[in-house]
Amino acid sequence: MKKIFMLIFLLAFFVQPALSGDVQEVDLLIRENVNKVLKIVRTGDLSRKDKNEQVMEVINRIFNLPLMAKLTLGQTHWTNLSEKQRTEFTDLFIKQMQGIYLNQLELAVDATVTFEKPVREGTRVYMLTRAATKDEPIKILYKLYKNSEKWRIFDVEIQDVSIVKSYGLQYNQILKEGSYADLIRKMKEKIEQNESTPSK
Amino acid sequence: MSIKNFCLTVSLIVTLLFAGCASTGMNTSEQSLQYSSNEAAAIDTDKGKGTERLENGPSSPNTDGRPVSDLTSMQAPDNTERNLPENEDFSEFEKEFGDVSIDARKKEVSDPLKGYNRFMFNVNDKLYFWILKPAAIGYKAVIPEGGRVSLSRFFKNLSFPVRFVNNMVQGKLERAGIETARFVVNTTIGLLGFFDPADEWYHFKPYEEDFGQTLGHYGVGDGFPLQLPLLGPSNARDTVGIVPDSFLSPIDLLYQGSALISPIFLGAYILEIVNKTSLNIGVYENFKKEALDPYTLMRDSYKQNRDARIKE
Repeated sequence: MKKIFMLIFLLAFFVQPALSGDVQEVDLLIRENVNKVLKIVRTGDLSRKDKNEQVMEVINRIFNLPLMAKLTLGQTHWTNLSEKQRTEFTDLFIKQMQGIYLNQLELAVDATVTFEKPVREGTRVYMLTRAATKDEPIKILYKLYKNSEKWRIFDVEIQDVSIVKSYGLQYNQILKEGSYADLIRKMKEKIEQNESTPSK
Repeated sequence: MSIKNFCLTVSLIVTLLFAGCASTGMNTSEQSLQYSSNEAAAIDTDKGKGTERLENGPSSPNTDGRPVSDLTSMQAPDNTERNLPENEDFSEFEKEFGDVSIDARKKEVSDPLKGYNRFMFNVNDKLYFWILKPAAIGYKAVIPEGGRVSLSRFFKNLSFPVRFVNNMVQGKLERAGIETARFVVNTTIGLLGFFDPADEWYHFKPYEEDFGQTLGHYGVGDGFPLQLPLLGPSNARDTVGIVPDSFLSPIDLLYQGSALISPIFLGAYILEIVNKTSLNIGVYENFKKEALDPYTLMRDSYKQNRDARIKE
């Protein structure tokens, strides 16, 4: 009996720091990497290509992009794809997300980013950041999930708009009106188009 | 009758005109859904079987002769874990996202004016690129950024009554109080609102509220999505909400009671829009660039943003 009490006591003692440890980990992860990305973008003597490559490295480290691809397509559609199609879709999705990130970053070159303390809810940690632009500040919420001992981003909400949700709805719309081949074709077209016309 | 009300009237007329066309095209989308509910129910048992249930049409990605890797220099991460562990399955994220395809099936019904909305979305798109953006670029070249930011604050300060009343009506007294403090500080120390010492010194942030949100707060649903001429994405509820708000907006009040469009009102209104646009050039362009289907993305983003704001 004594042992059980002891165990409960120890658990109660250790669980709390463990939780805040996760929060701290996320806090550090997001702060470090967002600042790193901003630093890369603001470095004057780097070529555009080098900048993109360095930013991409950070993105691939902090985002769980394959998971995002799966969640975005949604269970029904995902289940209906063959292994090969899943790989193909995931690759295109990742390229699309990287493109979006780089695009958005160009608007954030002179933004000041402020970080709020992350909040833990069950198996998730949410961290809100604000990018002060010339006009109204933009709310960016990072949503993280622990995967194989590492916290990784599974969704981002920009001004309360979830990337996973809104892209899921678009993909769904296309799949509804056409076939999987149509979706892949449109995604390829979009990626190609965005690369040929880099925004100013 | 202000210009917003005018837009509203025009939009309602055009809406009625297009409602017929839209409703005829509405039923077709439902039929093209290929997945039966049995298949949806069988999802949990079907993990990674790789069944080829989706058809590869003639334009299959394997046959169109453009390998993915040629399209881009961006390489997918090497450590891509495609075989995700069990615990990352959809059930884990069901609360957040549900099944997008099933959610959307329900949602699909609620855009009865899709035909009109898409049309008006394209009109607004053209208005932006042909008129608003060129005007904003010219204006940007003349007025320095500091001036434009201050002017944007001035307009925002003017619309204080809208935020105050809607906060009050929703019983958010503390927020209404902060809004009042912001207005008092910014109008006096902030020189008529051209500066924002309330935020910079006291960290009083504005609390955006409008009548659409007030209606939503009291349980009014959003009705259906509606694209308004000039004003962009909205829905039935928020469109109705524009009317009471316009009686609280000093700029709209400049117009009340005059039979012709008064030049002062029109000037102020255009200045507000052009000024705002000049501070946000590139945002809409990026949005369009990233979207596979800009109309759908705009409609759903608007809904997500509004739903979140009502919950706040």
